[in-house]
Amino acid sequence: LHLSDRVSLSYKKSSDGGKIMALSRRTQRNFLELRHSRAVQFGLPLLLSLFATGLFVGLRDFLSPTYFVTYFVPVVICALMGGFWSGALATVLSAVFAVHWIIPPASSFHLGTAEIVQLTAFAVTCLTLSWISARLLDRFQNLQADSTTRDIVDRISDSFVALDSNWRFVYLNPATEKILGRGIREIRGREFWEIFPETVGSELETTMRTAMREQRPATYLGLLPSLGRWLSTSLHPSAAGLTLYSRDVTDERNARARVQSLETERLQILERSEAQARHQAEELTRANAELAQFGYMASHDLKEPLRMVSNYVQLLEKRYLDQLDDRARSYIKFASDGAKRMHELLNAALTFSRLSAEPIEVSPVSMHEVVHEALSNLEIKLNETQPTIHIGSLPVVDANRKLAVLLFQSLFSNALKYHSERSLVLEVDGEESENGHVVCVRDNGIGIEAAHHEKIFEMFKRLHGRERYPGNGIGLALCKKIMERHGGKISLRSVPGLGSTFVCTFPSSLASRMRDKEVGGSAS
Amino acid sequence: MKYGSHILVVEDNPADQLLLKEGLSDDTMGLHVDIVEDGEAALHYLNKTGKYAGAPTPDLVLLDLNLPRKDGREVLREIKAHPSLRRIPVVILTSSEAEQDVQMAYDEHASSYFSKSPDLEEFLTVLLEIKKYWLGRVKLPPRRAHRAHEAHP
Repeated sequence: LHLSDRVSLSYKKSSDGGKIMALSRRTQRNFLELRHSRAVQFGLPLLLSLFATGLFVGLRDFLSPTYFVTYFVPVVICALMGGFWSGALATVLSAVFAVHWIIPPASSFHLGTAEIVQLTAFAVTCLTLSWISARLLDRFQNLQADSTTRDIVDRISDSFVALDSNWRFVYLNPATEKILGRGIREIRGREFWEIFPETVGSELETTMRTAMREQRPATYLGLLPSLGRWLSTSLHPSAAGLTLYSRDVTDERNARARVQSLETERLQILERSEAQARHQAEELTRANAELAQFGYMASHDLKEPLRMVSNYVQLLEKRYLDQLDDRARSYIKFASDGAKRMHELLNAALTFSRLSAEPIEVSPVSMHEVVHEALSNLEIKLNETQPTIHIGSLPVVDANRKLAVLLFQSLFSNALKYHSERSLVLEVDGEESENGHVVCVRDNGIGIEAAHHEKIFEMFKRLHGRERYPGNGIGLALCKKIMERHGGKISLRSVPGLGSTFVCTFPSSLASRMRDKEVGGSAS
Repeated sequence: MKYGSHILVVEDNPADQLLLKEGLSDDTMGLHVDIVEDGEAALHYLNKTGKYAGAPTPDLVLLDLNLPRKDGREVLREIKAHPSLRRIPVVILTSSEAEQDVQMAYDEHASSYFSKSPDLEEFLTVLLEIKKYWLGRVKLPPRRAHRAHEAHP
């Protein structure tokens, strides 16, 4: 009943389910409900037995004296409508009514021996009829249910195959027939292994045999080569045989495989481009190292002959000065100055290329100490200029101490060199920004025009004549390089005539952030 | 400065040889300056082999690092590995300012390390100071000590 209920529902839902079909199902359902109701099981035998008795009494003169034949019809109807027990109840009631109203003497339950024999024969016949009717109905209903189940299986798009216990085909649903290209008529009774010979010895065979032997459901996913399809199969064994419910997952698998191959392809492309980027980075690193090495070697090897030039020009000057006229002396002086300047430039270039080529080691460094060290290195120049120096609160930064000293030394000597008529005020301040630790070096010197703010950090760039401001144009380039090597940057804020502020930003790191800031004093 | 001291200069550059002679020579104190041009010659000189069979044992060696045939670094290593020659102070005088060279020199027991200055006065001052210190101020092992191993091998 439960099953047929669902069937009825599914057919109502199904768009292609015929109306007639739906109607007949509903009728069947109503009939089945009727059969199991108490009214039918008890009321119907009473009603029909009374009706048959009345009919016989009324038409007694026209009917044969064999009264009991009249009762066969109600008993059979009751058995069909209410089952065997309903038929049995009708039999008993019919017998009682017959004895009371039909068998003489009327209105009495008195019976002779002949009547008792007759009545027993009647009862046995009726019970037999009831039983047969009830069985017939059961059979009819089973057939109905079977066809319903088959209907469902026929309509599903997945494959459904039933085998008997000897692996012979019993049933194929239309979906399977379509896949197979053969109907059940053609292969009924033939063994599964004959139709799918490639499964012999395969995992599917093992799974099927195990499922049957252990009478336990199993699942199997695999390719059926003869069909070229991937099937996901559930195996349901029973004593009668094995049913195989298979879903075609080929498209799913193909889609998944396609996704996978796309993914693999994507990864490959990614990997290739990464390798390419890595290769380029390596190339660049090597080229940079080579260039720095070249710069180092060039300036190093240039120093040797230059030393000869300057040494001998000086020796000439020393030994033969009194034998030379003024013009010759000035020539020697130019040569000597040139050699000296070239030596300075080479030293600067050497420092610069070494700075680019060699790895730098960083550790937490107090900028306060660094600034003081840089100032003490410039003691002679400081005594000449006598600036007022204010040092604010400075952070502890992950840096290379030597380079940090060089950085501030360069910035301070820059300020000392380019001071204005006013007395020089030099300020060093630290601040925290979201980009890291910032150290500002501020002066009230001649300042730099905005147009030159980028240029001054370039190698050998000079904005002023050598006579007025001597120098080699390498100090600020060095500062920029030092900041770059620390992963930081240096920038300039300046108003011509008022002064300049160099802003050095060191990237913050956890180590230096966790340390307390040091509080600086002021010196002059 | 002791009278009649000997200095061995190992220097391949003729210009530097001349400057060194200028800076070191001091006739009044009878200082002998012998110059060899490469590392191999320096070791022959010190071991008194080949054409240097009659060479004296110097009180001081002034050694350049970048030399032909045998590198100054190797010469230093061999001197300091020698049982008696290792007592002779070796002063490195080179144009190299590389940190690893300075470190190597002291690792190999050089007595001191100077970079050649492009400034003549400074260069001459360095030579004067070397002379004053190593041949005057410092007490050096007696000369016969250098041959001690030859007598008692």
